[in-house]
Amino acid sequence: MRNDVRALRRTRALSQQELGQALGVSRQTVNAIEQGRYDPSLPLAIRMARYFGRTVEEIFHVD
Amino acid sequence: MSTDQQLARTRGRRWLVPAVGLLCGVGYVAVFLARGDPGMAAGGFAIMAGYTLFLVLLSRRSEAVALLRGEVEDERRQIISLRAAALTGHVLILVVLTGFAIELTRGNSAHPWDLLAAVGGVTYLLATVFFTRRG
Repeated sequence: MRNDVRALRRTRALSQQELGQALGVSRQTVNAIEQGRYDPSLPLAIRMARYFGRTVEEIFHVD
Repeated sequence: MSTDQQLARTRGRRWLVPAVGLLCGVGYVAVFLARGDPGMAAGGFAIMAGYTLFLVLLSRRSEAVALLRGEVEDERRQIISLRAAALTGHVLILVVLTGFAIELTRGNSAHPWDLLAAVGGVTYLLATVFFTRRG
């Protein structure tokens, strides 16, 4: 699934490590999500959406 | 559970696997010294101590080593750990069934393969029922 996590993270000048800490996941998991190698669970997707002040649909796009 | 609580739990768990590794090394020493084999005692301890050191030193550099060290703090790592455990289980079941079939075709008793296969089968059945009901 495509997503805008990398772009949103960069607009906030956050590293993957910092975003991972804020969301309670590892740096590698943030990287895997950004690259589309891992689709987060619904709770994590909602946590990300709330963190960036968006809806889940605005961040994650079904191909 | 809050993120802080999760992190505290993870920090504690990071040392569990290395501690168990060292404990196994001490176990090797005790068992082989009791059998009068100091060479194997030293070798067994060296292997476990080396593995523990490998986990501690490389877990920051490699995610796979971090997982082996027991750092399963987020959902993706939990899924990786579950998949690895499931694959291990499948390989073990295949080995057990192969051993069972080979012993039977040789005309031997299938023991202990039959017992291992039964334990594996019953565990899989009960686990499937349990996790289905749990949702």
